[in-house]
Amino acid sequence: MSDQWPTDTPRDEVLARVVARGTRIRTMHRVMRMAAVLAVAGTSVAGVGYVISSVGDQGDPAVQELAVGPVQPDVPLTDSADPGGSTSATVPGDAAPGSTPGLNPPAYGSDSTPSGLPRTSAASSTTGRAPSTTSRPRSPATTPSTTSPVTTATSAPPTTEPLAGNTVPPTPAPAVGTLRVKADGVSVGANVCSNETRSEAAVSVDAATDVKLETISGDSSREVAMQKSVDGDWTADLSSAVTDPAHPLLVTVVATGPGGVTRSSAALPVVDCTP
Amino acid sequence: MSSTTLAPEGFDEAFDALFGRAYRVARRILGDPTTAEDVAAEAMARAYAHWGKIALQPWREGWVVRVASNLALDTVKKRSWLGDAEAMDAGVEDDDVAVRLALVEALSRLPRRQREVVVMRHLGGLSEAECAEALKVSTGSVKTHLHRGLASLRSGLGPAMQMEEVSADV
Repeated sequence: MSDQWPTDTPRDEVLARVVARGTRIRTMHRVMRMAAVLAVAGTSVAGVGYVISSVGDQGDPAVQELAVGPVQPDVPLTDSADPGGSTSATVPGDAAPGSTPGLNPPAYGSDSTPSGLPRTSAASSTTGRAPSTTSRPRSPATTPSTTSPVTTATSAPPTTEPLAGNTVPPTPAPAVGTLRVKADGVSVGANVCSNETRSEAAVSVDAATDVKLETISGDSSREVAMQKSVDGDWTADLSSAVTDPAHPLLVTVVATGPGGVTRSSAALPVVDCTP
Repeated sequence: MSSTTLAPEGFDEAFDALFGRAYRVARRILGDPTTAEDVAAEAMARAYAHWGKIALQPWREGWVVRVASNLALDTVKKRSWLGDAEAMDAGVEDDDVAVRLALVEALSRLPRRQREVVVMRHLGGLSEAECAEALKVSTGSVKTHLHRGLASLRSGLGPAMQMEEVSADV
């Protein structure tokens, strides 16, 4: 075939050049194919990882529902607290063993089995209320002896369970105590003197930065800011609050604090304090 | 030679015939034997890289001719764009250069299938059946594309310019 060879360059030399160049082209194709496969695989892995991380961020919805569900009804359903204010009524016995009440671990920690799985009893998930017998398997040694488990369960709902997923304990809402009325510096209990011009309302409020007193007497209403006295109570003048002695004085204490706003209302009978 | 032993099975045996086809079509388009050899070698290198797919195909000659013609046309375009007149003049007369440039320009204006058929049939020297195999179309389709392509070339280049004139000196 050498006599038919069309070029001046020897055949074997051209063939060697062709083989070398062809090998490079083939290698390039392989590398590109491998890169494409790796890119596809990397994209797939990244996508799966993203999906997994997204699911992980949201947590297991079933676990969250079971963990949060029992806690919500345990919030004291009084008219004096809005969401977030319930955690102020910390029950010492509800603290997890080895932890301080203010630094309770999430519900997962206290409502989980030794294996780390949350308790998912059908009763707690269907009734929406935490089974107190199972949610408080506290060690007797860590439960303060002054706190009766029965009393805790009846008088104060178990509100110390932090919401699932919260890593920082919520700030307690203001706690409003019993409203007292003083006339000329003398407590008159829960009554208001209709003819007293120097009466004042006093109430103890914890964790509050601002307290206001709203009063409604008959058709008139007013709002005054309460002042913190030296003894710690918040006081406000009631001297002109009673405009309609025929009806009780409706009083609402609005306490605002870092943990929220607490409103506490009461109807104070109006009495004649004339000696 | 060691490079020969590295060649895949059948490549060494088919090399001469395929290289000759590639070289001829490149030479007819380029006019320059040195550049035509480079183009033919590049076409054969690509055949080597894809040898596993084309080795047993009846259209492998057409495949090589098509690759070589495309490479040659690209080379002409690059040179005309770069104004590489010296390289284009190597070994050919000025008139031939003008004719080739005009032919390449006219070929580039043809639809792809017509251009491939004209190049393979008239510049690559393949038969209509070989063109049909290489392009995976029927022989009738090759005839149709060839007829239309030549008609377009004649109208573009002028009635005096025939394909035989271009390839006569090779």
